[in-house]
Amino acid sequence: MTVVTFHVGSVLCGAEVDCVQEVLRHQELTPIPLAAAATPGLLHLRGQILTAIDLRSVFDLPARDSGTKPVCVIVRKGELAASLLADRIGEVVEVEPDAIEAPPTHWQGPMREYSRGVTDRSDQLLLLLDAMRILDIESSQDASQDEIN
Amino acid sequence: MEDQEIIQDFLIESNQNLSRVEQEILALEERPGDGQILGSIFRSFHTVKGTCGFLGFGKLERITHQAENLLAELRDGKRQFTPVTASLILETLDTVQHELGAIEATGNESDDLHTQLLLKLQRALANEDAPPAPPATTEKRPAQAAVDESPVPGSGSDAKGEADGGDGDVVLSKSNTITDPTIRVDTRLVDRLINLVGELVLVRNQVLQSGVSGGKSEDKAIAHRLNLITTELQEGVMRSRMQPVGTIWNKLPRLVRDTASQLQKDIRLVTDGANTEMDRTILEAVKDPLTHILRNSCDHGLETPPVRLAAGKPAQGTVSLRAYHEGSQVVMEVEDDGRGIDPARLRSKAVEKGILTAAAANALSDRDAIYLVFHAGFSTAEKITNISGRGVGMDVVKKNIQSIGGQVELQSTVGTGTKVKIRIPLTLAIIPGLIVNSGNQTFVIPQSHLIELLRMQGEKQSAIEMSKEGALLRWRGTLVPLVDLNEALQLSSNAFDRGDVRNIAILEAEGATFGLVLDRIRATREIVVKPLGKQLKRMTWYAGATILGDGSVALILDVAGLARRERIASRGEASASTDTAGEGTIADKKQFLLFACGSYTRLSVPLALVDRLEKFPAAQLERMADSWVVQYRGALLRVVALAKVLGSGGEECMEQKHVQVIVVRRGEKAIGLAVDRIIDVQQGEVTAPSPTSASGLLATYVLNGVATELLDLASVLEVADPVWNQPRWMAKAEGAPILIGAHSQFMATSLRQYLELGGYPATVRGSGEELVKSMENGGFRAVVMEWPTTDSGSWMETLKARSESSGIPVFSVGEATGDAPPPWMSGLCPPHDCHSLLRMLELSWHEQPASSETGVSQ
Repeated sequence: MTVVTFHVGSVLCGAEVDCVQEVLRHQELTPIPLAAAATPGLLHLRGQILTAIDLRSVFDLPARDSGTKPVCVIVRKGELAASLLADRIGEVVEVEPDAIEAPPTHWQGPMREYSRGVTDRSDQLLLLLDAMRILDIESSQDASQDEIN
Repeated sequence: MEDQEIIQDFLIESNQNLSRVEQEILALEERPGDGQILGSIFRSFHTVKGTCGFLGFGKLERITHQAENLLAELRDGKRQFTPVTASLILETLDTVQHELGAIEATGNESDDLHTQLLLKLQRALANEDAPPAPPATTEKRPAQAAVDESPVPGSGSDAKGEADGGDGDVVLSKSNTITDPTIRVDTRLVDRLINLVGELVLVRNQVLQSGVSGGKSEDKAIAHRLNLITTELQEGVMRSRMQPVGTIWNKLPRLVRDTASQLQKDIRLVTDGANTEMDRTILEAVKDPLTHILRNSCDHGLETPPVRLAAGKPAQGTVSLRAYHEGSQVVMEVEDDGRGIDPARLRSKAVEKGILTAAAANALSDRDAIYLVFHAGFSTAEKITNISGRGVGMDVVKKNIQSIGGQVELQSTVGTGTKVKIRIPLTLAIIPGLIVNSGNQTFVIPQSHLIELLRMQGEKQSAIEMSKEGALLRWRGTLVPLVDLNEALQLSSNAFDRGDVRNIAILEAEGATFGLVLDRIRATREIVVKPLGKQLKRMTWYAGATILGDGSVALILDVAGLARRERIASRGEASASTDTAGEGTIADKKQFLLFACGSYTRLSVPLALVDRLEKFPAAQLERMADSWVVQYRGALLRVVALAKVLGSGGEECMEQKHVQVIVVRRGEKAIGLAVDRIIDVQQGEVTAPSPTSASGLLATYVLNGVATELLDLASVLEVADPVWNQPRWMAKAEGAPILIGAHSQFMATSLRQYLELGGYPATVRGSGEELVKSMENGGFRAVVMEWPTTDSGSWMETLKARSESSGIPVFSVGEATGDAPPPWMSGLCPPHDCHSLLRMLELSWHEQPASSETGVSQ
């Protein structure tokens, strides 16, 4: 299968080329008040409003330096669409289905939850995103905040 | 594959044709012998029959064939049209539709042979003089029909023999006929076109802007043409989504007919304005509520013939259905000439069901009383019929209509009838919206929820009052809650200096009325509503988003969702609850955040003082000297271990995988207090507080029966962040402190804490005499005093005189149970509600004529 790769902090991510609609340079986001950090804003793409999903925040990675701007990977699968925010785009690579393995056991939490497997690139592990899952991420404040409101 | 498509087309087409038949038969009952209608019904059945033969649905073919024979006799005048015949045709129609449903679901006809129906049809045909139609006629009739009645789609029955020849034209030819100017288009395609046109409008706007500034006359002409074409294209595409309301009215005559016969009533349905067009999504949404209203009119509204005659009315009742445009809305009316709604009966029902107290019910005007039918669980039908009266009804109707931005109105006169008026927007895709700003962001408020816009300046702001529940606005003789959008959405409140102007939008949704305080109100625009991604579906206070003229995105507020989030009760509920015996409502109580930290297992802090609760992965926290920092909302947040500050433990809480942090904020400045864990949020009152000597604690008190420690946030912050209390007001206004007059130490300390948290330095004076003395010396900007005071004396008079001569306002803080404070004092703010107190103070600065903040440009 063909995979588009992109860098998120120290993590190399990949999404199947079929569900990547396009990759855009940094776009201005409209902040969504009260939304979780994983969904920092809205993006306007040719008449459609897309939710931006910040992969750094999803993976609990440290936030981006204020100087650097993320790229937008527009991902669409079925009815769901969103713009994933990554640090920079990688390349398009072929991945043999046989070469896909389960995520390493020390990966817990979101890295495991949103990946459908990993594969060994020459120098690094490539995390294959589970597009359906990541697109279905729900923005809400954490549970304790809900209790308050 | 191809077969599948042909069957699909056949189903769509047949359903379309047959849905018309029902109406036509009912029309025929009014005008029996109308050749045109008969011809049309005949054609519909004929088409179905022909295609069935071609597709090999033998049973359907037999049934439609018999019906066709019957209709042919009617059309040719060989047979009289009687109610029995009508019922028989209707029954056939139902069966055919049932079979079509089976084909759609399973790809095949159902197992039911419908022998009964076939028998009935045969008998009907045989009964009359006319000979039972010989099979031979099958060949003849289609030809005849094709000649007589113009374009009957491809003589289906002839095609039977050559089905193998794969003559797909039999079905397809229908759409090619010249007399049918319509085509079927997938609605998703239309939606896409609308999106693209929206895009084009944006591009047009940009071109117009650059065209005007560019100045070349040639360019201007092109821009102008682009403008005209785009506008026309936009209108055209928008109209393609429109459908006449008649499409959902189709089913109603049948409904009325069946309902009438079930209830043994004689009902005539009159419709007017079936051609009125509106957006098909709204149309779909209106269908069920409309059906329900109509059923109600037939069931509850209209009387039985004997009752009607006794009342001097014609035995036949009339229900009229009207639709018309009114501005950018469509109005649909359902009116009956029945018994009307009796307000007296509704009042007693409401009391009986415990919805209202007797006093509250009697206070309702007749006009308001009939609106009780919209109350949930309210049904006045004496007996429950299977048509209506199950108590779910009008409240759902109202909710459904409101959810698409519409309103329901009710007019009724006892004895003469009831009129239900539904107002709905023309389209959901484009709505008029109010563009506003708050906290540096642009939002849109749907105009349908807007009642009034207020701009309060200077002394007019005295209409704003503080209460236990927060700020209230005196508006048109009632008190409505005020919500500041900056606070509700936790926006930066420093983005815009409001000066002494308050912009308030009075909004209404689901029966709740409230005022929304905004930074700026800009303009009303027609906006294109875009749905938000599924990821945001739980944020019910947003209805969608729109793209503004400059290409930027603005969120559309969902007024009902916002009201729910801010816990604003609808008026009906509020009046009901205030009438039920003197039990304190939940809103009266304070909320406390309970948490564990170090050796304290049950610490608390008023929730109002907490900005947010966050859980940070330990890896994100970086050590810096004696504390930690974490990237938080685009800034660095300093986090301290609370246990260490309190001297009740070390930094164990920082070693968890996720660090639980309580974020406290003052304006742009925030600090995080790391604790062991959050226990709960509880409502309750501070009872039996006793001061404690432990550092960083204010008191020990009993919350809901359990001893609890109350955190002294002000002193904790002082220790945790030495620059915390560098007051924010220093930059804004003169820094005179605030004088606190409180006789209890507990109250004095908490007041000081709240004030300092808001950035105001405060000085405490224990007794009234001391207070007056300090006033004389001056140097204070306001007095906050505990109410009621325990030490009486002439000092109150002196205080009043001093306050009036110096212009220093005096605020009172206390429970609103005993005597009210004298009118010269400002408001009565509930204790332990620092937000109300700070807001009250802030408002008062704007009222002061000598304030240094006036003259801010809008």
